[in-house]
Amino acid sequence: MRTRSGVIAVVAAAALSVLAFVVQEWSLTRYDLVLDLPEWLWMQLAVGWAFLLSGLVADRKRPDSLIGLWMVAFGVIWIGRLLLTPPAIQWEGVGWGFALYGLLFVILYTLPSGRLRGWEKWGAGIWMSFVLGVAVAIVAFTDFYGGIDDPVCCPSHLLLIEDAPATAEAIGTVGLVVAPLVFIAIAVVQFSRWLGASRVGRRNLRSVIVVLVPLVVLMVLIPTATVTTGGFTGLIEAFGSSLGLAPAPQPSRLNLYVQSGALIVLPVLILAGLLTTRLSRARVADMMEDLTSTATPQELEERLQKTLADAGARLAFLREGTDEHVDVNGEKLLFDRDAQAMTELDDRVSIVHDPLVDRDLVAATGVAAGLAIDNARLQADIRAQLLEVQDSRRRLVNATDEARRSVERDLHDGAQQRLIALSATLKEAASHRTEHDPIVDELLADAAREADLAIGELRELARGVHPAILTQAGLGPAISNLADRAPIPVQVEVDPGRYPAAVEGTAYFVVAEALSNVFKHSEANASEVSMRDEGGGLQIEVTDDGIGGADPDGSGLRGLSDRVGSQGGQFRVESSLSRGTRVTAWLPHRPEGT
Amino acid sequence: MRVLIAEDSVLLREGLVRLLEEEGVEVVAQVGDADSLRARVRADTPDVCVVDVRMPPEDNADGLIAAVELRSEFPDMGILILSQYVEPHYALELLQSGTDGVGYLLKDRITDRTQFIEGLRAVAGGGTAVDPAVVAQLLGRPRKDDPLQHLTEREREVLAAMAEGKTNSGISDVLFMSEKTVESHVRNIFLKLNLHSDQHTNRRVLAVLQWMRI
Repeated sequence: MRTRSGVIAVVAAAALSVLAFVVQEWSLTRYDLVLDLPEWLWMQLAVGWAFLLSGLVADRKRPDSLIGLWMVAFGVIWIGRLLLTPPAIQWEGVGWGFALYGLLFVILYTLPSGRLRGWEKWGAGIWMSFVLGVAVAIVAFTDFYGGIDDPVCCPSHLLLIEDAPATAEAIGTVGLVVAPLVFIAIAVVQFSRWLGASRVGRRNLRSVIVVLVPLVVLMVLIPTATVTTGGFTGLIEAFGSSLGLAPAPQPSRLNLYVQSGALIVLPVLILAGLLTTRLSRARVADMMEDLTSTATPQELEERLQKTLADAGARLAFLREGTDEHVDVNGEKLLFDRDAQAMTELDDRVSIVHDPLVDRDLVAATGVAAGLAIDNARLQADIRAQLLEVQDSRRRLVNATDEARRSVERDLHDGAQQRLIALSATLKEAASHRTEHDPIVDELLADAAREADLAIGELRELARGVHPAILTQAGLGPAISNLADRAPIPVQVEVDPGRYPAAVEGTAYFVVAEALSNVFKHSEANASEVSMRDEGGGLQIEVTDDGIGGADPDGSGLRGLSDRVGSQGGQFRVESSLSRGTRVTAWLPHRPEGT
Repeated sequence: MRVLIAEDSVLLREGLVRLLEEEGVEVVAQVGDADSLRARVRADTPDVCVVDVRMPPEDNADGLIAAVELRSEFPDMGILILSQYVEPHYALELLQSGTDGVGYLLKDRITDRTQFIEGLRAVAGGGTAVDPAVVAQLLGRPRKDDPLQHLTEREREVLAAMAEGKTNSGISDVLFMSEKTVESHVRNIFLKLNLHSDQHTNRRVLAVLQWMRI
């Protein structure tokens, strides 16, 4: 509600209040009446103003909720009704009070949002029509002015159909029985909402508890306190009248004070309830004090979660040139769009949060943390780029591996088989010759020998490109074969497990390259290779007893480090002059992103 | 002798069939993948299967895996594995499934008809054949305090021949020595390598190869 509407409401209410006074005074003078409870109008006006003012404050402090508007409406209508009460108006305002149950219960039911959804709108409409109908019926069958105190005082009111106190009471009793039942139903619905709510939801529904618990107590205590006789019907009537909306069975000063008091306290309770939720905004200020420019994006996110009291709140950054959101780690952000809401802070940054968290609070938090969030966004962007680069590096390495496997397969299926066939044919040709010409014999033998050499060379070449045994039988046999061919003793201890092709390929590459370095440069007498499953990955170690002095930045070891890094692993070289060289690598079982 | 050939390269398969038929060996079936191998063996029950290690459908060691499976189903059937790889691992895996009537030869051997037929007949006769290249790789493996250095040149030759699956008389033929001499060499070798002496030729192959692989 804008300020202007608020001012209009206040001015209207003030005018109505003054008018109510004037009309009452005029009425009293005209019929020469003396009121039993002269403060009645004062108390009633206080109730109206309590709703009006609480509503205005609630609307200002909790613009996300419609409860403030409902309360303002209630207050204005309540005050307007008072205008109709003096006998001279002949319109009978007291009986109309019952109709205000309609609005009041809608307020209680929709706490704290003030919003009706779907069928609830129908339910509210039916409920309001019902209470209005009951009110009209009571008024139509009660000759208020003629009946009370002095029968000759005043004219009957204009809506009177027939003065039938029994009919009016019967209808009134129906209303007074139904209203408490509806109230109990609302209380049950609200409590079950509270029970079923998430932590954030409960915090938000705290206002409901703040309002309903005292109200239930009032509804139970007041009738007990004000009713001394009357049995069940009396109790029910007192129950209803405890909210001051129906004529009390025993009009008395105590009754008036209790009823009016209850109705003045109620809007204040509702306002207090709404404000307890809003108080979390104070934490925004705390957060600003705590946030330093050195906070990491993760710390920032934690602070936001604390401020919003929503442990599931996440920062979401839109990646440039995409419609994809990443989190503070630069990883793709996944969240349940049905269970979580997203509040945009600007065109690149959003906060994903529990839908029950007040969106204005989220926005305020976002603005308060602006600079830190900007910083986090930049960091997330860099991280996301880094992840992409790592990803593409891994893909490149894996593609190269796949290409090698494919070359080996082609050699195996093609050239190797053809050369064997060629050699066999050449040897057969030689054996089938009947006329021996020494030159031709020698040429054939040479050709066969060359073919055999080519077969051997091609076999070694294929093995170097990619050892088929690695794919077929795993690291154990593949590394054993390396040891078989080594120029120095290599002790092999390899866990027999199988791993993803990318892991096995990289592990083999590491060992083969490390051993080749050992043979070429270390002058070692012996070497050891071990591989074991450790910490969710494959721990590889190649050691020798050579002269050490390996340069980790040399192209060979650099290549190994790159290769291991491409799989998200760790690589280390320790080389000392007296104790040889130790190359260690750790490869996660499941390379990142696969 | 009824032989089944399992080889996915048509070129080599046809060459093999021609070679065997010229040698008077009956080829009862020829297949190009591991699944057909299983099916044909059950249907034709050949005396010997000549199997390529690497075959469809997976294009991994499907041939070898099928062969090892079939051995437990048909213990009397000989299996000669033809391979492109000098891989002691495969040879040992095959021998561990049973040492009688198995062979692991490089495909190169089919270019030398005599050698190949000799291996095939050894397998068909319940013997063992391990490719010299595989044995050479194992023998050449460097070892710490190498026990092989205590063997004489002659003993090394006998050891290699043993590892290739040759019987004592076979060894005496190729190394031109009497069987008695061979026996005495074998005893010495077992003693020096601290191996349990096993007179059964085929089990001896496995023992020797396993010793070499450690």
